[in-house]
Amino acid sequence: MNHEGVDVKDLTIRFGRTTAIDQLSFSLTAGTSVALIGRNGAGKSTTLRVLAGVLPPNAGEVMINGINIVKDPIAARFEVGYCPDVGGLIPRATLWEHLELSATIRGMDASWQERAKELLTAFDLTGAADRITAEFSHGMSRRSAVILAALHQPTVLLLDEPFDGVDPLGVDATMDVIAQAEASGSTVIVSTHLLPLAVAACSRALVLANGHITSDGPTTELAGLDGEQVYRRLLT
Amino acid sequence: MSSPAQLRPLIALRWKMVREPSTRRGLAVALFIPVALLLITIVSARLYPASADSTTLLVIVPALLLGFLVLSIFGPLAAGGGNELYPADQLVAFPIKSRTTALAALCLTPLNLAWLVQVLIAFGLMSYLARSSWPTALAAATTIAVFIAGATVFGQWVGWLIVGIRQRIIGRIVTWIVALALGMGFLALLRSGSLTGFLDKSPTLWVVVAHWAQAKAITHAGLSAPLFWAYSPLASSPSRY
Repeated sequence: MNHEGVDVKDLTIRFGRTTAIDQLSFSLTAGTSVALIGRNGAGKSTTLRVLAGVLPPNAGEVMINGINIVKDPIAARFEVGYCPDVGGLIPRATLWEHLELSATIRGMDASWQERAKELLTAFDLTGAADRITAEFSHGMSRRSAVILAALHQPTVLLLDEPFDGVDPLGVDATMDVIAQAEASGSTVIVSTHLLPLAVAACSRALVLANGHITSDGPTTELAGLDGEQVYRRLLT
Repeated sequence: MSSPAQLRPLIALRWKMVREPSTRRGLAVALFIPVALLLITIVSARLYPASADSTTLLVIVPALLLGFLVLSIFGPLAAGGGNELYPADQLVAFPIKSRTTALAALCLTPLNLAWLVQVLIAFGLMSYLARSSWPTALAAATTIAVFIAGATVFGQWVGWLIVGIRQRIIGRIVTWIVALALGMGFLALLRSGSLTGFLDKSPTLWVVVAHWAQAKAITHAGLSAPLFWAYSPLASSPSRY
């Protein structure tokens, strides 16, 4: 697998007259985990949607492991594992059917079942694998979306609000997925509002405000009460 | 993985999602309803008593087929590309090709009631007009089937192409300009009273001509099961018919 990381240059996204992302640029090497943090409407989810190949950019260049996302969005999407901030699941399908579909579409070999079972166990969802996802609680849906994103061990893992409404055991399992992905040389981007979890999960933090990066540095600078004060100042 | 290969597991999952066996049986039966309706329409139109002059009906066939072609393009456009097997937001985690989505929409077309009604009208009318013998009726059905398949695929293709173009700002401007020009052109045709003349030059006229050529060929030479490509040389000299 090609592990070159993520390269974003002058990314611009507009929704009508509103500019959600304004000439955003950053570069992430393989084997790094980055927290994308900021206020509501800062452009975190929009950035991840572009990186996931869901939303085409209005301007700028996005490279996923050397693949231009505009020129070859499907090849880029094969590299990516994406957990969207909401939804991303087929309500009438079971969790196992989701995993089976992902494995089939991605052309994975039979070993996907072992990987799927491991993830289900880690996220305490083994008993729910044969239930349709419409019956899931919000936290269960979040955990399921993380499993679906991580199943194929993507070289770029994008998690949008993976801790939202998730219990401590689910948070631990998500942390493990992030750590394993980083250790295996994948690029991990986590968008979250929960600063302590962002600090615990990632080594680098990008603070977004109004579609711009206002801070880019190690998460240790945002740790503890002092770090929270620094973070609050960056938001205002 | 090719688009048809991607489509297979998507359709299989859609079918699996119908959990109740009784609902599955009902759906399986429902899938044959369009086929049954089609056969009933063709047979009943053929058995319907002939009018003294079917020329009036014949002249509206090209316009009817043109209407089908236009609606085949505007239908998918109105649905934002086409009918989707799954809502787009449910598949964001899967690397589904846009061709697969378009192919899925094409597969779902026969479930569109407006499409089905038009198909029944077209088949019924052609069957009524080609009532001289069963082989003639079969030729008419084949001609219409080929036209409908071609028009539906073309309509879906254009629909998705325009949806793709509209995703860019310049594309939106271009589509608005084209739509405005088409609207203005249509109004100009109406105001000048030349709409009938325009419709007489409809390319779908050749479908009718091809059908009639085929009908005559079958009646006189006893040919059967014609292919659409074989119509072209006959269609190029309509004055013979």
